[in-house]
Formats: sequence, C-alpha cells, structure tokens
Amino acid sequence: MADWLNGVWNVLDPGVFLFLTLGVVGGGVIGALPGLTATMGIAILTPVTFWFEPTKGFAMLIGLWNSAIFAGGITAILINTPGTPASIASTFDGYPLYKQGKGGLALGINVIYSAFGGIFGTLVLMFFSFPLARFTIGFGATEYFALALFGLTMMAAVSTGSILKGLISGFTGILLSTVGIDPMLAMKRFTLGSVYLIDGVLFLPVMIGMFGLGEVLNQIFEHRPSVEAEERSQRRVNLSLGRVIPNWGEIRSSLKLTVICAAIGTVVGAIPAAGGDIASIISWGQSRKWSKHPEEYGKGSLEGLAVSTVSNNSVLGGALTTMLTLGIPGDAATAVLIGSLMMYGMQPGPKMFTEFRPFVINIILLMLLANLLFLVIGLVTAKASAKVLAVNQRTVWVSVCVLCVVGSFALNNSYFDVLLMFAAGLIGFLFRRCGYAPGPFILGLLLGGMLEANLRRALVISQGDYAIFVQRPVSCVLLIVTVLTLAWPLIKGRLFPAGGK
Amino acid sequence: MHKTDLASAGAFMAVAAIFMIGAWRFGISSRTSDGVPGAGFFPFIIGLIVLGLNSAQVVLWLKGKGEGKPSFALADEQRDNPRALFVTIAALVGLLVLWRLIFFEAAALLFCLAMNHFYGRGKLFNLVFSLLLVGLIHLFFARFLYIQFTL
Repeated sequence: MADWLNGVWNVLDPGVFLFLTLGVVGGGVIGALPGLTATMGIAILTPVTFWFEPTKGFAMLIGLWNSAIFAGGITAILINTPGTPASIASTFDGYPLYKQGKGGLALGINVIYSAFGGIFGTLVLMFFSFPLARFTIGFGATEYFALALFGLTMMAAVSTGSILKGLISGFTGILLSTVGIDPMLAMKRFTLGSVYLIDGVLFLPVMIGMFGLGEVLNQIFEHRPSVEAEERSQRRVNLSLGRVIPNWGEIRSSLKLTVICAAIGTVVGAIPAAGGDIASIISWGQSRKWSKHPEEYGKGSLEGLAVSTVSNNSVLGGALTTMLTLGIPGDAATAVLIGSLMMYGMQPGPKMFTEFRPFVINIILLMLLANLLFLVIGLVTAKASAKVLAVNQRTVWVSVCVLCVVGSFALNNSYFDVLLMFAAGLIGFLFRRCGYAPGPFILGLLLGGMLEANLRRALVISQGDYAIFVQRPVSCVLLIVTVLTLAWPLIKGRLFPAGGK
Repeated sequence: MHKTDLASAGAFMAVAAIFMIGAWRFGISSRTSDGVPGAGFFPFIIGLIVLGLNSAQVVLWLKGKGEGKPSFALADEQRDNPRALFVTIAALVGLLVLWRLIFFEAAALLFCLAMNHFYGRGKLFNLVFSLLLVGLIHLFFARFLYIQFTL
C-alpha cells in the first residue's frame, strides 16, 4: 500500500503531470493526423525522453500512446479515415453519425468510451499483472528463451498477411542483433572494425528509421492526389456538430455491451501481436450480434461507435500486462515501448516487478491519469480538434524527416546513429513495398539478445543437452504453442480445405 | 505474393550467407566443458533459418511462376511520386552532407525551405514554417536539453 501511495505522490508531481499533459496533447495531434501513428510518435519521442528522469519520460510516452489511440477516432468520425489502425471500426458508425449532424455527439462518445476502455484495461493491468508476475518469477533461462521465441513467432504470424515474410523479417532482426559483443564469451562479432558497432546495432535509430522515415517515404510513394482532394472536400462540408455529451439514456442503453467489449479488448490486447484494430472489429461484430438494434449498426449507431472505441483503448491495458509481466509486446507500439524501457536499463519481464516495482506502479498510475486527462482535454477540445485535420500532409512529411534526424542524433550525440537511422528508413521503405512488416524485424532486434543469452545459458545449465527445453513444463508448453502457431496455416488448410475460413 | 519476392529473398539470403561465413570463423561447435556453444553458434543457426525461410519463399515464387502484386507499380495519378521520393531522399542526403560542412540548424533550414518549395507551398508559409520548426528544434534541443549539433 505504501508503494501505491508513494506512486500517487510521484505521478502527481507537477513536473510529471506537465510531461503527461504534453504527451496527451501531442498524442491528440498525432492521432488526429492521418499518416502519423502512435508507434511513429513514440519512436521519434523516445530519444527525447531519455534526457529526463524515467517517470517523467515515460509519462510523456504513456500520455502520447493513450491519447493518440483515442484521437485516431476523430478523423474516423469527421473524414471517414482512421487516424490510427485501431480506430478503423470507428468509421463504421462515426462517419454516418457525423453526416446525420451528430458529429459532436460522436466525438463525445469517442472521448468518453475511449477513456472508459482505457481505465478498464488499466484496472485489469493493476489487478492481474502482479499475480501474473509472481507466477513468472520462477522462470529460468529455458522459459525466457521459449517466451522470446513465442513472442516473436506470434508477432510474425499476425502482423502481416504472409507468415513466411513475417518470420523472415523477425529472424533477420535477430541476425542483426548478433552484431557486437558476444553475450557469453565477450568476443567482438561482425563489427567490421568499427567502434560504433561494438555495442551492437542500436535499436532506437533503427526504430526511428523504420517507423518514422520509412513510413514517410512510403506515404510519399503511395500518395494519391484524388484521395487527398476527396478528403479536402469532406473537410469543407463542415456539417453542424451539435451537442458533445451523451445523455444518461444513451449511456445506459449501451452500458452492458460496452463493459463486455472493454473486456474483449483487454483480452485481445493481452494476446501478443493482436492490436486495437483486431479488438475493435471483433467487438463491433460481436455486439452487433448481441444488440437489440443490430439494424442500426453501420448506419450511425451510437452503441456501435461506443463498443468500437471502448475496445480500442482497453487493448492498451491488456497489451501492457503482457509487455510488463512477460516482456512480450502486444503490438508494434509496445515493441517500441520495450525499447524505451531498455533504454532506461530496464528489461520488461518478471524482474520488472521485483527490481523496478515502484516504477511499474508509476506506469499503472500514469495510465489511469492519462485516460482521465484526455477525457477532460478531449471533451473540452472536441469541436476544436477538427481544426487539426487542416494540416497539410506535406508539412507533416517535412517535419517528420527533420525530427527523425534530430531524434536519432539526440540520444548519443552520434552522427553514426543518424546514418543508421537513414539506412533503416530506406530499408523500412523497401520492406513496406515488398510486403515485409517492420514490426517483427524490430522485435527480433530487441529480443535477439535475450533469445541468444538464454539459449546459451540454458545449454550451460544442461551441459549442452537440448532436452532441457522440453523437460521444463512452461517452456515445453510455450514451444508447443509456438510450433502450433507456425503450423496453423497448414492445419487450417487440412481442416477447412474449401477456403480455410 | 509480390513480383519482387525472388529479388528480396535473394537479398535476405545474401545477408544470411555473410553472417554464416562470419559465424563459422567464430566457431560454431567449439563447446567448452560447461556446454557453452561457440560465439558463432547462434548467428550461424539464425542465418541457417533465414536461408531456409527464404528458400521456401523462392519455391513459392517459382510455383507461382513469378506472378503476384507488383511492389512498385503506380497508377497514372501517382506517376510523379517516384520523383518526389528521390528528391526527398536526395534532400536528406544533402542535409546530412551540409551538416558536416556548416552547422545543423542552417542545414535543416535549407532542407525545410527546399522541400516546402518542391512541394509547392507558398513562399510566406515556407519561410515562416521553416524558421519556426528549426527555431523550436534549436530552442528545445540545443538550449533546453544542451544537445550540441556540432560534429
């Protein structure tokens, strides 16, 4: 209890609160601008936060993350374009509501239910992460190895249409993680005689390059003037927004389904690699089946919008539970957050709850506070937020390019890091064009060290006997699940030969 | 499936091969008495996996007779995009080179002015935006965080 009180004291520190507010406001802008994602924002901002104490730095990232996911719904409602992938289901009912002159109400529902979902997910994180961490405290090298492998294959399997390409991307990331000092024998490997590579390929510049510059280059290549013109004409429509706050009757009618969908979102978020887009689509589809008014779904249903927004923010609590307790990211944004924690010298996983327990409590409380903060800011600025959409995409491209350069340099004052970021940006662009997801690559780079160190540590314990990985129950189960994940397309093909759906 | 899958698989295989050759030199099976495999063991195994996965990719490409989604195909309205992409990349290279020759803020300002001009933004907007962005970067990073952009 004393830890929690201390945590409340920490997060209510004016400095921390200021950073959280900056993160929430920044996330609101990033989420509302089509083309900018929460992942990109966190990747670019991470080196900046390194200059502040961890609680302040993480307050900014947590604020940005939570706020960007909710703000993605603003463009979904006003111009039928999701600001972030997680808000794709918000277009189904949000845009029709806007066209009916209920845009303000749609924006209000987006804010209120996003905050509700976020708080629900955070409460799950608060109550379940500590028992889960206690269960995983006995994990040894074999379990860590199996866990890292499982996380990687899950992400590779879900993040892209092609499992094979996801795996290639992930394993290439692992291969690159072997550059630098060998974790067991302290030998220099693949450094090409360069002092810059002794510490390995730094994941932060690579992260900024792949998610920041790579994304911008891809947007420039894919840019469609006709789509831009249509978005511009939609912005000019300028329908009346009407009231923002829903009445009690509107809230009560969808209360049961929103609680269920908040739970669905949290569970989906806890599954590695399943993000807000999957959660909100599942929630929207399921609640349409359970609803008393399924015919209204897709035509401007307040309930439909509420369930999709509640689930896309409840995902965050679930994703953070998996990330903090097991060290496995729930999506690309949490993969980047793992990188941020590692930058502070913390390895997410069971040890986080013993070695950095006060910091974990701070993170949980910051999540709660971020949701309350964007609830207030979001409601106050709901109508004004539509102005953000007027920002020209080209302005965003120029700004992101400069910020990628500055961000990659800021961490170590190293020009080499900037060159690394630039190279990663070009590779990130080619990855996207050729159908390879950058997420598994980054994850491989992050988890590669953990994978190798624990594999070799386990082999030391077993004196070279590989049977150790199947003799320990947890690692055996994880390896079976990993194999099943990889074999699922084949199994699916056999079980459902006609289409496999 | 993409039409470029063969080329991309080839690139990944080349990377894997380079790592495997390097790993071989570090020692793969050179176990010490406590069961620790050599420094080359892990990269060799991972290189082998990357090689295997890309071989499967090549087989799939051959089975599909090289058909698939073109990676770089563009519609008529997008025909100017490659030029915009190359100009952006070239401008970034220019920024990195100029940074070494003059100070960062000036290089960044020139980059912003050039890119906004290329994208057809108005002169006044271009000037105000570029000065504001670089000014804010200077204030926040150089003055507040004491990050020296001097190389």
